[in-house]
Amino acid sequence: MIVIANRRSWCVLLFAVAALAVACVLVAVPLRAQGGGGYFIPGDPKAGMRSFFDKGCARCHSALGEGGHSAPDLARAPTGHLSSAELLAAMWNHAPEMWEKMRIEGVAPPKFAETDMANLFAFLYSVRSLDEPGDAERGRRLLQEKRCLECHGVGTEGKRQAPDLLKWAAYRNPVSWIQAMWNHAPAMQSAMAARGVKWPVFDGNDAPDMIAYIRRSAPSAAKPAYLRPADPEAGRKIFREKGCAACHAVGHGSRTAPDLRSRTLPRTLGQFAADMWNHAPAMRASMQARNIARPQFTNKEMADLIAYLFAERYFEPAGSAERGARLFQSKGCASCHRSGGAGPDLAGASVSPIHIATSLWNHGPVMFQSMQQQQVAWPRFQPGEVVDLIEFLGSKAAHRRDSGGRQ
Amino acid sequence: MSFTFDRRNFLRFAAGGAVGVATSGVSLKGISTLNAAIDSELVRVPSGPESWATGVCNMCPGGCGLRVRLIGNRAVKIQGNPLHPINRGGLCPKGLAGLQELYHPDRLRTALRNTGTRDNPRWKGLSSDEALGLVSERMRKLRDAGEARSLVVVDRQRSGLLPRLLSRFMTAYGSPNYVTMPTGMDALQAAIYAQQGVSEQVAYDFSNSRYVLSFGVNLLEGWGAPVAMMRAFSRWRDAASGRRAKLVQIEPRFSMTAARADEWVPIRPGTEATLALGMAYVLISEGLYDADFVREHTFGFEDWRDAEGNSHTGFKSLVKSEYRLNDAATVTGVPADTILRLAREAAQNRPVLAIGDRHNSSLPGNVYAAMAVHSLNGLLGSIDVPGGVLVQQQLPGQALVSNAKDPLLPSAQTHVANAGELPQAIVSKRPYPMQMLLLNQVNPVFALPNGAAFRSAMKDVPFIVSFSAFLDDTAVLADLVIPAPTGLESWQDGGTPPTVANAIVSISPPAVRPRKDVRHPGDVMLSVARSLGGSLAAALPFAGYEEFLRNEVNGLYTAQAGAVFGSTLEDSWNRLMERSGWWAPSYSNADELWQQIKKQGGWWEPAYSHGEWSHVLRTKSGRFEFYSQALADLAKQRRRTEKIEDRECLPHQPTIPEATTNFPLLLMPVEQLPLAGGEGAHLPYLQQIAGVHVFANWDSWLEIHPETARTFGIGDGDSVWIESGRGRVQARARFYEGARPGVVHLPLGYGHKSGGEWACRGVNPLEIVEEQPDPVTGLPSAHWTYVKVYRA
Repeated sequence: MIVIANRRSWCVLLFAVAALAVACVLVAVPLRAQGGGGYFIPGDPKAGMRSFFDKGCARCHSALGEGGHSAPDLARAPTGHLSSAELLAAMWNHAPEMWEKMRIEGVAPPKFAETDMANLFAFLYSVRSLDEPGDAERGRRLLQEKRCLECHGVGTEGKRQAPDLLKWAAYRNPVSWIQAMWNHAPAMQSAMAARGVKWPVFDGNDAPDMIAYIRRSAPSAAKPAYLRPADPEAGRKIFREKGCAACHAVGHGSRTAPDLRSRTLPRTLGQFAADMWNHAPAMRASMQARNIARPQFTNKEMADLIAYLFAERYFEPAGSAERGARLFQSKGCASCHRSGGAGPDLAGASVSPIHIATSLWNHGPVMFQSMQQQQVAWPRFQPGEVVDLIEFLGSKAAHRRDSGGRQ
Repeated sequence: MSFTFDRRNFLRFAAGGAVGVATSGVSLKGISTLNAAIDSELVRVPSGPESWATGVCNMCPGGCGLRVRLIGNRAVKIQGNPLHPINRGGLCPKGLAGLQELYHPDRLRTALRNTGTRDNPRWKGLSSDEALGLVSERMRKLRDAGEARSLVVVDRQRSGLLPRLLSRFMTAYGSPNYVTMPTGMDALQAAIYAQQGVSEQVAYDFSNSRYVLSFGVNLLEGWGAPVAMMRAFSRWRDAASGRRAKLVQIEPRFSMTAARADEWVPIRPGTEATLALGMAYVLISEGLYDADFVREHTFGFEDWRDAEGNSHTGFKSLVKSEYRLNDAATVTGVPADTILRLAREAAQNRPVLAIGDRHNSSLPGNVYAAMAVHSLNGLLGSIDVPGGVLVQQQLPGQALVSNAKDPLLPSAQTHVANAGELPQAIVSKRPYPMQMLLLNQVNPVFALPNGAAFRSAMKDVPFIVSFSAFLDDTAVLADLVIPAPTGLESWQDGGTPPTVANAIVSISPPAVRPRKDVRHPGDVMLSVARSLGGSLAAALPFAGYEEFLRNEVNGLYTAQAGAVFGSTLEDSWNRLMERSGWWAPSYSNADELWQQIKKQGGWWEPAYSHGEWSHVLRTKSGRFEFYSQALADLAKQRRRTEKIEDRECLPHQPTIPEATTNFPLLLMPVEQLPLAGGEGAHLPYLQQIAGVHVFANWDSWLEIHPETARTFGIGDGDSVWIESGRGRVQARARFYEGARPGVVHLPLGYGHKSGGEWACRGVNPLEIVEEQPDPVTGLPSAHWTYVKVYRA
């Protein structure tokens, strides 16, 4: 976890947004509160959606199709899971292009309060984790390719050795599907082995696509069955109580199975659930070897569990202040942001991705203009570099620099 | 057009064109008349605290939500509910005039019993309780005599919760005869049934469409859900949406919709099907159609063979042989290069919507022509895609019970049981005589093309009850009239309006105390059910309409989907969530849902799932059928033969009657928003703003092209007779260059014979139109009437 330079102010911010978080829905993008052990979103996704529209982001960008269409859909691009630092890096690197487009269109860049930005980050993080309605045509091909129809039927298609998948056509959420499949995985594994069917692996949008096809094949519009908002706090308990922690660590070093904080996450909750399915045979074997009972889940439990793991991944693991110090020099930040420089001295500042993103919008256009005049290139950052830089700025080393120490 | 734009005319134009002026009561013609329209109660300055209530507009089927400003118990202002997904705070002139309806001096104050005859009624006032007793007694006798099926209910609306109650009542009572008034969309609906196999209402995703081909549909003049349509229209021109949609209006007359369209394509009357099929010819010939959709999801595109080995003509062969480009141009009068360009533009600007055949909100078109137009949607892959043709979602809860078994009306076979067929059924007494007719806020004598036949047939019905706020043309022929409340005085509900895809339930408590001894039809039917007892009472165990609504809301809660009306932002949020498989309601139990609905105006399903083919393509083949097997089955069943012509199952140009020497001019009735659906003439505010394009209001006018007028020696403003084979009516001629030479137009909505001082102005063109029942559905059509026009 990132070490925040000014813990007191950070905690105040957390306290303020915690109340909002209680009412939040779905993917509570959590932050481990200092000392509290609770999981709270540092912002309200729904209020963030308001910022997305009110601040004018939606004039060009959309989020899963809601909003404008002249700029990328921020729920889909960039691809893959983005932590808050990665969101910041993407925003920072593309800021000059956005400002230039706004200038051409005569639109003033919006200003943000930190709360607005926290909400916006919460919204983007949440909406990016949502699965999209699938492509039924692709789903049909996948059901064939993955040989699902050698046991299951879908209406008139497929075999009858296993239940007709139309039975679950009402399920709209891929997590519900994967949960049902997970619980029956051992039986399915045996059946597949008997038929020589390879364990099907689901990538990307495979699961929603197949679900879309099954829903499309239902003889009438089934009453949709949705999942209720997931609770990461409950997910944390499930992680312990279901025995996941016996093999997996979450940010406390490697055990026999991958540390789920360091593992690359898929973009959506459904894709994460599919990842569990993909590894089900290996996990089962490992559990059998260690005499651990294989956990069963309700669909809510699985949703809570995944929400918890997503919550853990809002922040990147701690960066390196040393690397940050070098970046501060090499990216040209130090030429202005120093005592007596053209920009404010950043030493000892309360920094976080949200804080930097707020500053980016409130001061960035002027900074960019100034840099253009001085023919200084806008620095680009890799997500890890952002983390290092934040680590540096928040570190005691920065304080020492402020008091005359050398970097 | 000969017209002097002097100061007086300018002011009249401004007054008619500006809704704000009209609804503020500033009258420039006959201000004394307007003042007289105001109930004396309104003259007193209201007192008491200010408050706001929600409401549901029932001035048309558009289903808008209202906010009602109250001073004490006086409603003083109506505006749109900004949370309502249909109108988002907007409102049309009809909705705004709802206030005048509430305080209308001609409203019925008590129930009335006709103690005289149908021809010479003598009205006696009675309490609503006495009226209820009469209804119960008649229904009990009917049921005890084993003639329950001979009860017929004609309902005004087709969606919402009251139809659900009435339908349930009829099923429990034992009658299959729950019918509705025909609407302008019925032919189109029948075409959708023929080609897609669905009986749910068709919906159009206007907001996301990029190219709209309107084949004579008065999109901006009261059609469908008027305010929702206006909002979509504004979105087409909203730069922020990133793209501008194009509206092409194809019709003979330069209508208000044509005037506001991006392109008006004048066409020879009645040849819209040929134009659509001519465009199909281009799309097919140039390979511009959606080949994937046609291959994967359609039937009857290519020639085909049935199970017996008989060969059949496919759509492609039909189009290529009968609707070649130059032939289409000759028939329609639309230049070939225009047809070519329109087809290419449509192919390049998907998603495309093709809507038609021509219809307004009250007169259906022709089913085969509607199929021709809808085939363009199939060709261009516009079925159930964003920006395309959708199927209206069903409300959660108990669906309407099918009453098709042993129905009085044959049209139930095509899922359109309409009141237009009742006169014949009543007079013929086949398959059985009608003993009791219950009319729920409908006026078929005025609104049907065969209204005269309806009026005559009513004499053969032993007992007729009308729920009506006014003693209108039909109520005046009833035995018992029960005053219906206006929209603000009772619990109101509204369902999903026509053309809208998302399931919607609007509910509002009474905003004001009833001003008369009124009873909501729902309350009446529930009282009757209690009174009759037994299975009927068991089917409707509710103390009143509020309790019934509350029970329906329980059903919404049980569905575990949808959301209470909210801001556009909340709607976007809920849509995102549901699309992704999550449901995050703002309520945790049914009571909370009920309270939120009362406060915010209703519930709806913000998300729509596209491409669920098994739901939207329920034909025999499970595909979009260019060749309708449903029509084939229907023809075989009706004619009791296996031999039918392919033409009976394929879209085609209907036969166009020719003008005769005696009747050289074609009369096409037209509709305008203030009197859309033939309703609204009783409201002076609406009378004032009608007919602005020809500077005529408060009376009927005849639109005639100046050249045509001169041919017949008619001057602008002359009083003329318009005479058909059925009869003649008198109106003032107005020169209108937007009328096609040889075609004249009379506005619908005028010419009531009863219903109050302001309603009884002008003439009803339906009195002289020649009715041509549709060959497939039997729907009344009134588009082909040839007339002569001469000075009175």
